[in-house]
Amino acid sequence: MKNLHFAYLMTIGFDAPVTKHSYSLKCCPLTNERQKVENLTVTVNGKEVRTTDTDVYGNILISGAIPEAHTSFEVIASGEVQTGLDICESYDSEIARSYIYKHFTAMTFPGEKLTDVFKKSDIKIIETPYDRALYLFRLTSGLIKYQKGVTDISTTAEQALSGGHGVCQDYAHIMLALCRMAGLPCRYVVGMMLGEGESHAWTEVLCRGVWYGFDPTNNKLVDDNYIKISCGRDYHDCTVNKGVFYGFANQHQSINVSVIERNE
Amino acid sequence: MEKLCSKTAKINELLSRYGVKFGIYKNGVFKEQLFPFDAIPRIIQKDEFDYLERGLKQRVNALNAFLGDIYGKKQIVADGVIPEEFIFSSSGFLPQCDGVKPPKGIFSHISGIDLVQSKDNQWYILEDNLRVPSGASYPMIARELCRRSSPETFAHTPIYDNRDYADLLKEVMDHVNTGGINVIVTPGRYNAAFFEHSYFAEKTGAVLTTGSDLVVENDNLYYVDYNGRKQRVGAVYRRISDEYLDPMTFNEESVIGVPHIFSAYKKGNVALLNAPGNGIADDKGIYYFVPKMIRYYLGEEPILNNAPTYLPYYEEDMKFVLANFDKLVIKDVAEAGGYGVVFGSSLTKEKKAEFIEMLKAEPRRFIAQEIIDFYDLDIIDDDGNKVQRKADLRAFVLTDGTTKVWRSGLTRFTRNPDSFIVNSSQGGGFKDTWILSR
Repeated sequence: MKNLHFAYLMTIGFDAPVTKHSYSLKCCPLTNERQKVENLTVTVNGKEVRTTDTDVYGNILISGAIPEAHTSFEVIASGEVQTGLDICESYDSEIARSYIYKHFTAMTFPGEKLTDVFKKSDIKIIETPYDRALYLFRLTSGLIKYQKGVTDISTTAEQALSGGHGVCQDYAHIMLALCRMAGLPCRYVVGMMLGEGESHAWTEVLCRGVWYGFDPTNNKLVDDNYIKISCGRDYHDCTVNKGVFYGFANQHQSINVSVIERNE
Repeated sequence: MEKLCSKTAKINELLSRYGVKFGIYKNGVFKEQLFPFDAIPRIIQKDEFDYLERGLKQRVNALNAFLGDIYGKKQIVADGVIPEEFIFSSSGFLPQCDGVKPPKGIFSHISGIDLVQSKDNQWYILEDNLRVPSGASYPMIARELCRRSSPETFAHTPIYDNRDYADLLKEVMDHVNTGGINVIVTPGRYNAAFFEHSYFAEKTGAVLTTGSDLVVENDNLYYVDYNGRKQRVGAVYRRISDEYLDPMTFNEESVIGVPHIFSAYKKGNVALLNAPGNGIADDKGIYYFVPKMIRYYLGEEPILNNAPTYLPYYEEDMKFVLANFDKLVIKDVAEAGGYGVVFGSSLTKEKKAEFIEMLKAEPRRFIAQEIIDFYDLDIIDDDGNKVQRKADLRAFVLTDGTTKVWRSGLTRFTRNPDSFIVNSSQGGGFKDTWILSR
């Protein structure tokens, strides 16, 4: 168990004023069996925002709009999280929901490469769902090399595997694709890690009726160094910021995450 | 009738003057074309219509029950009636809608059900359209103009008046309205069915608007008029597809939608007609299962039949399809508007082998149907001769507290004698549909 303090900062700079800016944010960690969130505050351009809204995946959703002209959009979420309260997350919603996580999405649809990897693997001789998830997690870790700038947000699991390089998002998508080929319901997770300067992504798999977290990028099981923000079928369900605005402007986004341990 | 037919040219001229057109995009260029009207009506006898009415109500009730189940408990999947991949890997299933209950629990308020009649006078359901079915305005205005050109035809024939469609539509909007005005949202002037959007607004008293005049504040939807005055909106008959409805929830690139409208809907603060997510029920793959749905949800035998359909997904059906390939029409489940339809017999040997490879690789993507020998209807061709052409019928079924079938419908025909495809986007024409009242 750890007491972590986090600050998530996202800034978008516009090179010309924009108006009627509608946004929706998924940037707030949620309290569950694994983690307890306290003193959460979120500000948008300096103003505190609150919400009781959640999306279909159970993520906290903050919606709003800035009608007047502005040249920057700054979101700060901060708070304290007790992590590692449990090793898994229970599956509270009705079983019906697991169907959504069982089937391929455009990002996780397997092509030749993934099919080939799956066929050549030892998955068939492994019996329990948890062991199968664990096996696919270890397998995924070694499939590609970590390298920034090779892939982007539109890169599918199949493309990342073919390219041989990628970032946390690609590792997570490849593991999702493999788990779905094995018939395991699984989901994409966006979160933060102790000591990282950016947000992170990993995979959760439903086995024994609960969700277990696997981080194929670091070849680590998800433990008390991880704070979960949101989850969904793939990257696109977890987009931290979605926005539309009026104006002719180029935008530049930067994200800065800090997670530190509190020793009392 | 002779008199009415002699007025065909005049009526078409009036239709064109009223802007009854159909826009299509071809190679990126927007072109508007007239939707040619043929004055010889399709006539449906009272008894026959009573039968159709019962069958259509039953079908739409089952489809609405299915939508409530799929975005709720998913019992039909748990009970193994429909394989789960047909639902959850279909692009028609929108996970964003999972668990969201629309006002009064109605998903498909306006359903356009396409039927054909075979030579032996059997009716078959060809497809269900539960998203934004268009076309009711065409027989409405054509009737209006026909009555004007030849009033005596209508004075002496017992035909149900079809100009009540606007009242039915208004009742449906009022029934689910959560407090506020009714609006019709159009993507704009360059949409294929813009005439229809404006005509319905005029006839139902709803406000015609584009997404840019609507705003969401505190999870309520408002219409902002020219003076900047805000009016709460209670029901939206939206003529834009789910994908473009709300850039915050669906396609982020959409500029014709309303940001956060889905949140307002999710909270029960506004009704959307039809409900988002209906695409899962009118998927061509799901079509196969509609008779099973009728038995499952209503405990009744289907009154109206599907065209005989095979699902290559099932091994047995795949065998049949391969053995009878030349006798079947194969449809890509993801395509609409008469695209992605292949007649087995029309393919060259090479193309056929290629197609069968594709079919084997992705069986889930296709359905195969027996070709129905259509009962042809008389039309008057460009040279003034009476000839026979293939036609279908789109029936409009409206659901508020009860389910009603509009006593008319859009009869579309192909102008090309060799074609089976009647879609207006493929250059067909239309007829009025008369339902006799005795």
